[in-house]
Amino acid sequence: MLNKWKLDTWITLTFGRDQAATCNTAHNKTPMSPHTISLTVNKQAIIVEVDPSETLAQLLRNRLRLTGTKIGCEEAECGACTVLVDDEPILSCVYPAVRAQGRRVLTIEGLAPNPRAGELHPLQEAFVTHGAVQCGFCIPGQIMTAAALLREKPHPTGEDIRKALKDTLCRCAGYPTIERAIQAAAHALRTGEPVPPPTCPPSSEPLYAVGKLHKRPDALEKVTGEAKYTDDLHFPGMLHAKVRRAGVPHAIVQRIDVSKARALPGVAAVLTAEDIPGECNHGLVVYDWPSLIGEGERVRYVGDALAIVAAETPELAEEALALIEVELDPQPVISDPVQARRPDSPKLHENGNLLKHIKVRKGDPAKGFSEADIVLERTYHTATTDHAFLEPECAIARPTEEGRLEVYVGSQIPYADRHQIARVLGWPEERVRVVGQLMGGGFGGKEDIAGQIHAALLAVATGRPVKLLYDRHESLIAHPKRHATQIRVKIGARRDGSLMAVETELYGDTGAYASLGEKVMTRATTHSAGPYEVPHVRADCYAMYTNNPPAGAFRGFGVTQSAFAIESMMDELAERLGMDPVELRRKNALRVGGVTNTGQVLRESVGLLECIEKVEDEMRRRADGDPFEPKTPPHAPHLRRAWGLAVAYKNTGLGGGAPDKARAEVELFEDGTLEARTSSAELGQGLVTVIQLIAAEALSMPPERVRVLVMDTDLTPDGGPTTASRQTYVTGNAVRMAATVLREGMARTLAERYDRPPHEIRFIEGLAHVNGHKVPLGEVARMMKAEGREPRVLYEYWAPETKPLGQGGDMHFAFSFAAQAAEVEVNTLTGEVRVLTVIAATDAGKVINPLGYLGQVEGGVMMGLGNALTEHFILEQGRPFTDRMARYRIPSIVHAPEIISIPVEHVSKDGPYGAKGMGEIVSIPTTPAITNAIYHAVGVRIDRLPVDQEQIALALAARSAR
Amino acid sequence: MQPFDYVRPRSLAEVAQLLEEADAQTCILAGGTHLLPEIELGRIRPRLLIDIKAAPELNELRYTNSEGLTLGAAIPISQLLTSPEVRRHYPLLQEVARIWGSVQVRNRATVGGNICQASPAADMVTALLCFDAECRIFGPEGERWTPLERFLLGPGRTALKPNEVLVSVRLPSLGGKSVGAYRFVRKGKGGHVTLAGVAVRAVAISHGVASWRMALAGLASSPKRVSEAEHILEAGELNEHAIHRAAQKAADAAEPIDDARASARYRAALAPVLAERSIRAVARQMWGYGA
Repeated sequence: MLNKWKLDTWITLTFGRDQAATCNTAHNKTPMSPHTISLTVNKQAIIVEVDPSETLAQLLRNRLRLTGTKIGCEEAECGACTVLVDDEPILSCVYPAVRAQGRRVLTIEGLAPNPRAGELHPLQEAFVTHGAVQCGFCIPGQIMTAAALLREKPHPTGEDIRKALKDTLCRCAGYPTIERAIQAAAHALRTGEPVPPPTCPPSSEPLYAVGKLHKRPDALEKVTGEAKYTDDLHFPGMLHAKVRRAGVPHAIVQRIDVSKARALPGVAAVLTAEDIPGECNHGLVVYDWPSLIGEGERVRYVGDALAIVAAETPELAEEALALIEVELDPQPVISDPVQARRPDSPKLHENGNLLKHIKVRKGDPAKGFSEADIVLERTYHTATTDHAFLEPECAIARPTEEGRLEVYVGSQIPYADRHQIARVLGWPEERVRVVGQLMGGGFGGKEDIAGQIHAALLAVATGRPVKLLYDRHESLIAHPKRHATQIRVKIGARRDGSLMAVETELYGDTGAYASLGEKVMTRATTHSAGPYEVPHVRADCYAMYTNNPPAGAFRGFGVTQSAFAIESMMDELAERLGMDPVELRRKNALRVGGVTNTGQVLRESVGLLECIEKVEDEMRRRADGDPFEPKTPPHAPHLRRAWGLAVAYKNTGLGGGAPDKARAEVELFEDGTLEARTSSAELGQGLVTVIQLIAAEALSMPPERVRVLVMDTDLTPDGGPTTASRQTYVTGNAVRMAATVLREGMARTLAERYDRPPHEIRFIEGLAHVNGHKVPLGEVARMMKAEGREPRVLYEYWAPETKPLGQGGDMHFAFSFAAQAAEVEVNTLTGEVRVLTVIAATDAGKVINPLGYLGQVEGGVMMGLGNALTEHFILEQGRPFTDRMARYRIPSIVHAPEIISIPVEHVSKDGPYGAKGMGEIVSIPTTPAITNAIYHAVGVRIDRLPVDQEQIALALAARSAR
Repeated sequence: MQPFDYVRPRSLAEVAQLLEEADAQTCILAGGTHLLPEIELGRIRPRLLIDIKAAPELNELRYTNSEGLTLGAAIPISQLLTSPEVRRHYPLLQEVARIWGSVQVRNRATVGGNICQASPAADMVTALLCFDAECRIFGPEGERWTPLERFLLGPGRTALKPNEVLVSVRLPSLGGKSVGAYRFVRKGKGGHVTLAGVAVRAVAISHGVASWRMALAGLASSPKRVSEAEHILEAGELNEHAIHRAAQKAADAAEPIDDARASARYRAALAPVLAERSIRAVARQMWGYGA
C-alpha cells in the first residue's frame, strides 16, 4: 500500500513532470510515454509511473525522497549509488527505473531490520564505532555493497572484501578501517554477538574526553541515509539551473544570443554578464574570476561561464543551453607556466601572466655551494590533480519572504561565500545567509565559488528557489585543481652529510585565475628545502597564469609538490654520499632551536626526530636485512621489493602575517546539554568531533551532551576558512576558550549561591560539585538565567601573530611533522608498482580524536599514493582529457596497503590541549616515500609524477638490453 | 537525461519486428552500464530503447555436449561466475569474469553488450576468441551466423547491419578438459582499461599434446587471434624454445597504438611478456610444469 506521505509526494511530482512533458510536446520533442510499474522498495509495495529516461536513483531520490542513495558520477564508476535489486548490488544511476518492475529494491534506509525503531544493521553499527565514516557520502554504497557480500560470504577474507568493494570508491579513503568494520560486522552477523570494538589506540595521555575513542556525532545519520547533503534538499517551486561554458581554453567572446533559449517554454531565466547587478568578479584573494564572461571579453579556460539558465526541470535547462548561440574568436593557448613567462606569450590578465614571484633568501647560497663537497641538481615535474570528492558541487539559492537570500551549499568557507555572493548581487552581506550543508569531501576543492553565485543570480532574477547541481563532468572541468609544477633543486652538502645550501626554482601553473595560487605556491616555496636546517637557501617561484583550469587549494597546499622534489633529491644525495637515507635526514632534521628557511626559530613542538626514529624502528623490524636493498620474493623472479623513506613538515594556520582568528559560541541549556557553534566547515575530516571533545573537556561534561552546529552565517559566528590544517588549532582554541569562560561564569553563580569561593567548585562528569552538593549543569543554567546571566559565551580567539615572508621571525605559529616509509613491489617486466606497506608517524601535537586521527592518516596516505601512482588530470592544450571519472582514477580499496599509524605527540604550547593541525601533513611524505622505494627496488629514479609504469618498464628493458 | 521511449519485447520475434521499424535513433538496451552514461553525457541521443532482457532467446545460458555453450547476448557477466557448466568446460571465461568491472557492473553488464561495444581492449571478447565463438545475428533477412573474429571490425564497429541484433554467441564443445589463463596490464592496478592482455586456452588431446588458442586484447584495433603462436604450441613438445617462439609471435601480431593511456612501444613490449606468462600458467595447470 502507498502510505499518505508517499502518495502526496508522488502526486506532486507527477504533476511537475506532466508540465515538463507538455513543454516538450509543445516543442516537437518526443513525448515521453510513462510506464506504470509496481515494485517494493524497502519492503513497501509501490506503484508508480516512471518515465523511460528516469533512472532508479532518480526515482528513489527525487520522487520517493530516499536520498540516502547518492549520485557521484552517473558513469557506473564510483559505486555511491549502489542499492540491492533482488538482493544483488547494482548501480542505480545507470539502472532504468522502468526495469524495476516486479523487483525488490533495498536501499540504505531499509537495511536495518527495524529502522523506524532506531535499530541499526551490524554493518551500520560497525561503520560508526570503527570510525569508517568520514564525509559519509560513499558510505551508503559501501554498506550496501558489503551487505550483499556478507549475505553471500558470511566469513569473508580480506581479499573477498577488497574484490567486492573494488569500485566502490571512498575519497576520504579510510579503506583499511572500512575493511575492519566489515569484518567486525561479519563477526556480529555470524555469531549474534555484539559488534567487536575497534583496536585503534588512544592518545598516549588521554584526558577526560580528549584523546579517547568517541563516535562521530554525525556518524549515525550518515550510516542510515538520513544525512542531508545539498542535493538531497528540495524546495517547493524549485527551478533547476545549468551553465553554458565556453568549452574552449582561450578566446574573445564575439556574440552571445540567448533569445531562443529565453523563448523556450519552461525556461524561467537566462542570464549573461549584462544581467549582473553588482561586481562581476569573484575570488578568494584577488577578484580576477568573472562570474560570467560577456561579449567582447576574454575566455581564459574551458570552464568559463557565458550564460546561466534556470528552468522547470534539469532537462529543460539542458535543452535551453543548446539554444544559446555563441560566437568565439579563438586565441593562442598558453598551456604551461614556463611558456606563460616567455615575453612573447599573449597576456591573459591586465598585469600579464605573472601572478606572483615568490622569493626565499637565507644566508649566502654561493658561499654554501662553494663550501660543499658535492653538489647535485635535478628538475622534477608534478602533475595537475583533481580533488575528486565524491559529492559533486551543488548550490541552492532561495529568496525569503523578508527579501533576503538563503544559499544552501557545501562550502569550506561560508563567510567568504557570503561576501562573494553579496558582492556580485550588489547587496549588503547581511542580506545573504549561507547555510552550509554536509559535504561529501572537500580537500581544498570547495574553498572557491562553484555554483553559489550563479544560483543566487538566478534565484534573485526569478524570485524562486534555484538548484545548481554539477554532474561529474562539469565538476572535473570547472573547479580549481592542484598546481602542476616544475621544480629545479640544486643541493650542496659536505662529505659528512651536512647540508650547506639549497637552491630551488619553481614554476607553478595557477591556471586561468588566481584562486589561492599565490598562497599555495608560497607554501611550496618556503617548504622547498624540506624540514631541514640549511644555512644557505635561495628559492624563487613563479606562479603563472595559463589557459588551464584554475589551480588552488588541495590538501598539502603546494608542499605536496615541493616535498616530492626535495625528498627525491635527499635520497639521491644519500646515495652519492654513500650514506644511509635515514641517517642523512636525521643529521639535518629540524629540531627545537633550529631555524627554518624563512628565518623562524623553532622554540617547541618539533617531533620530526621522533617520527623518523619510530618509522625507522618499525621499518627495520619488518625488513629482511637492509630495507633499501632490493629483495626478490620467492617464486617470483620478476618482482623486486624495497622500502623508501620520506619526511615532511607543514604549517598549521594561515601564517605569513595574515590575521588568523576564529569565533565560537557555546550555550548551556536547562536540559543539561551544550551547543557549540562556529561557521568552520565539516567536510568529513571530523571537526565536529574535535569541537565536541574540546567543549566536553573544558566543561568536564560527557561529549554526548554536546551538540555542534557549524557553517551557518546567521546562526554561527565566523570560524574563518577551513584550510591550512587550522581548524583544530584555531577554532579548537576558540571553543576551548568560550567553554572556559562559560565554566568560570558557572563557577561564579554557584559560588554566590552556595557561598563558597569559586576555586572550590569542581566540575566532574557533567556535575558541579560544590560544598557536598552535586548540581546538574542544567540546574546551573537555570540559576544563571534566574540571576539574569546568559549561560552563553561568544569568544574570538586570535592565533599567535605571524610575520610576512621576507621579514624573518615567526612566519607560522606551529608546524606539524611526519615521516613515512613505504614498501613497494615492482614488476620488472611490466613496470607495475604495488605499495605493500606504509608506516606513518605523524606529530600532531596531541591526538584529540583518535579515530579521526587514524582516518586522516589512512586517507592521507591513500591520497599520497594516488598522487604518486594513479592520478593525473590530463590536459591537451588547455582541454581536459580526464573529463570524467572513468579517466581520472583515484585509488580504490585494491590499492590500499597495510597502513601502520604511529602517533607522535610533541605538544604545541598554545594549541588546544597541545594539538596542532594534521589534515595535510599525513598526505605529504607518501608520494616521495613510494618513489624512493621504487628507486631502491629497481634503480629507476622518478622525476615526474605520476609514476609512469611504462617509463619503469622501458628503462629496465633498455638496461637489460645493454 | 534527454527523454526517450522504451519498449520491452517478450521474444526474439518481437525484437525483430521492432528493429524492422527502427531508425538511427533506436538503441538496444542490454545492461545499460555503458549506454546510459553515454546518453547522460549527450553523446548518444536515442529516441527509442529496446530492452532485450525479457526476450528468452537472448537470455539463455545453455550447455550441451553436442552444441557446446550458448550465451545469450543479454545475460549478465555475473551469470558466467555462477554457472557450473562454464566452470567445468570454460574456466577461462570465469577467470576473466572475475577481473571484469566491479560486482555491481557485472550484475548488469552483458556478454552481448560487451561484444557490440567493440572495444579493442575488451577482456571478455578476447577470451571468447579463444573458444572459436560464433555470433548468432537476427535481422530483417532472418538469421545469420558469423565468427566472432569477423564480427569485430575495429573500435566501436561491428558487422551488425542496421536493424540487426546479436542474439547469442555459441562456443563449440571442446571434447576435453580446457584450461586457460588471462594475463593483462592496466595502469595503476585497479585501472579500468586494459592496456594489453593475452588470453591463452588449451585442451589436452593426449599426453603432452593439446589444441591451443591465443588472443590479444588492447594490441590491435580489435581483439585478435594469434594463429601463428597456436601452430607453434601445437606443433610439438612444449619446451622453453616453443614458449619463447610463441610469445614472440604474439609480439609480431601486435599492432598497438599510442594513446593518452600508454604508448605503442610499451604495449608492444608487454605482448610477449604477457603471452609467456599466460602460456606458462596454462601449462602449469595442465601438466604441472612450465612455470
